[in-house]
Amino acid sequence: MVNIAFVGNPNVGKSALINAISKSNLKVGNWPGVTVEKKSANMLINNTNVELIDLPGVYSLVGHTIEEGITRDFLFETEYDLIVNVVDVTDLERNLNLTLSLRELQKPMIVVLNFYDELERLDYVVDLSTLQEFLKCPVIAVSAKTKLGISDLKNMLVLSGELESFDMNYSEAINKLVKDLLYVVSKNSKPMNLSDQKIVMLYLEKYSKVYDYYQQLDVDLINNEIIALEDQMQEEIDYIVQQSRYQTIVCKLPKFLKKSEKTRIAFTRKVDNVLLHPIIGLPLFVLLSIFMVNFVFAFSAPYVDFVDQFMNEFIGKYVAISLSSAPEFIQSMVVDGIIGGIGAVLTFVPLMMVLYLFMGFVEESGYMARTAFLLDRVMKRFGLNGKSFVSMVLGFGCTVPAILSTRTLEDPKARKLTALMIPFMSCGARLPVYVLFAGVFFPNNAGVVIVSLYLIGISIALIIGLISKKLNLFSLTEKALIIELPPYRMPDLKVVLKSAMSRVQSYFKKAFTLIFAVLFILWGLSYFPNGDVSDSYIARGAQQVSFAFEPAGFGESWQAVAAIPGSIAAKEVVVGFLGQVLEVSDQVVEEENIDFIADLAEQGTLLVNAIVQSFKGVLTLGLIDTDAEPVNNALQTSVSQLFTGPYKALSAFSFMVFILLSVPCVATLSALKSEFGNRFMMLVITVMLIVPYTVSVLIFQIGKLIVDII
Amino acid sequence: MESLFGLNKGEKVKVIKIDLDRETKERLLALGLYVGCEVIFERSAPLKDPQEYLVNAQFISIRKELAKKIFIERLDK
Repeated sequence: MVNIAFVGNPNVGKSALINAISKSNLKVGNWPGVTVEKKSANMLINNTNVELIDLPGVYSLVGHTIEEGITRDFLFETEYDLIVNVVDVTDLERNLNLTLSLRELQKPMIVVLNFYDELERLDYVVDLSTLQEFLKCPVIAVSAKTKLGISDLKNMLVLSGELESFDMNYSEAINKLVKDLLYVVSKNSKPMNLSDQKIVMLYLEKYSKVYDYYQQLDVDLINNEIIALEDQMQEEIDYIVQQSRYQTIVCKLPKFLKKSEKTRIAFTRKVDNVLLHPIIGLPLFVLLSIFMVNFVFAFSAPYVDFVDQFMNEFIGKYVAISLSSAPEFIQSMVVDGIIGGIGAVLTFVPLMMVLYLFMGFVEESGYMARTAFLLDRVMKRFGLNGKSFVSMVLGFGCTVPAILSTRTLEDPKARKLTALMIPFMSCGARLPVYVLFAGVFFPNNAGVVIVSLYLIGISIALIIGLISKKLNLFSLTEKALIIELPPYRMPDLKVVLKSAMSRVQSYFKKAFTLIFAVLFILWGLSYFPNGDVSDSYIARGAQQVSFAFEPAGFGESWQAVAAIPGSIAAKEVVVGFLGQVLEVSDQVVEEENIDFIADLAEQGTLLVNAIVQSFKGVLTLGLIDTDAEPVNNALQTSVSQLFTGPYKALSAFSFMVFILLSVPCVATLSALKSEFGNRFMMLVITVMLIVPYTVSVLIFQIGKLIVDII
Repeated sequence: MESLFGLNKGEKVKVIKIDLDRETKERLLALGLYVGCEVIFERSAPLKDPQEYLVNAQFISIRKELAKKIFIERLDK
């Protein structure tokens, strides 16, 4: 097995290149212990087994980010056969900086100039042999997009060429230090299995594992030299070395690169003149976000409905038939508990898939970094940066992918704060609850009421952000925000697809047990002891504790209280649950036909229908709801009896606010658990018990005073 | 001394001093921003902060406070 490490700056197209070499064999996973994606591919080249490993994109080997740590640990501390340094040929000046520090490792290495097809358009000329002469290693021009040079590169990967040693020529002062240090290193044991040259450079770059190791030895003389140089240059040695590497490149660059007047940034600049425009930049962002949320939901809703009814009405029906001789509670357990549970989990799949595809596209195209630029000013107030905003907007669609999208934030503390704020963004599943209650209790201003709920959610999230900043709960360090705004490029759709698929997969692998367990327990509590919801443990419990909700205005009706635990299964369950406990007789039980073939055919029709609806939805962007759910009059009448008296509207509003702010659904909880651990999940649960209670009580009590005055 | 903050759009300047901590300076260097390099001011974000600059062929964005600690001299156009 030949292990090949692909290393390069961010946004140089490493994944797309690996995908092109391996003919779409790319696998996406996670690096152990961190939430950074690990991409790799196994393949056979000329009868040799090869593993291509995509290391996280980095600018330097001595930096402090998680990505730099992973890449450094891999390169310094594991065994591999070849480094493939992927370079963006349209920005050699910066990219070669990493190339030089990789060459100091003195390991077999190939430098791959990617995006070579773009050079032609720019009228740039790169002299490959001069560059090769300078780097003392093979250099090859490729384009992952046009497949230029890919098959040559493939052959080079398994060809073991001669290894030339690389000597970097720094300034005279540094060269002297290097020479002295080389002597020390050669006379002593080394802290890690790296070339002498690299050890020396890491010493000068003050990489602690190396620097500290030699301090016990006799290095006082050299340290004095270093201090003298630092005094003279008015800079620290690590900076001097890194800067000198940069200057070497700037100096050598004209020898192998002929530039024209054109620059690669012209197109990007034009686009940004619109997208980042001082006046229309923000409105455009808002429009694009609305477009994205609408697109994702309009596209996926028909599939979600399809999966839902497929599980309940098709699979559920035939399982029930095959169990018809079993005791009633086993039937209910299998059909309502197990199949219902699996169904609840599966309905998320189409939604998350589409959302990840869209997000991946936005990320890869270069716009994601710009949203952070646009909204940084707003999030700065909360000690966060612009990237958090993007995650929060996603929360209006579905909380789960929004939580997972916080992975794009570098600072783990900022990630947590953002994840705490996201569940207060009212997700799509909470809407049916609002629609039902607002329709019944605020028939004339339902729209206003629903919008006000969204605003309450946003306000609470922002207040929590402010409080945690004031009290410094997350001890956010004001890390300098430095973001790169990469040139706009068309994303490689295959890579986006692969990555979306594996994200969905890995989430469900982790989530299934927790979601399933909670749904199963909820089923048990609402079934036992008598198989009747309105006499179940949940109902009995609610009757016992409902007095606690009297200050919030909905304690008098235990049915409302009993609906709250169900909202943990999924927010929209509240509606179904009320339907059950209020004994709405809305359905005339049909004589069920048992004809498997006909039912299977019907499922086929429904799937086709879903595809058609999905495209219709995309075309109308969900603005015209082609599949408006029929208003369930019976349910409305029953719900209207939940709250009576002079404060009934207030009670209903308070209840909606409670549902909005209370503990998120189990899918969200499991996302929180898998991303941040148990303790953080418990923190979110605690906050989302205290906050909704407090806010609901406040709303009801203050509202009552106002109603009394009027 | 003038800083990177408050330039006119499209103006080209040369960095002469960076008054920041080591880690931040190294992060900037990795992106090609160091003493002696040339920088073009691209734009402010719609809410006036952060700022966008062109360094080499690379757009980077930094906050106002950071820009104020990077000192420059103006180049003739």
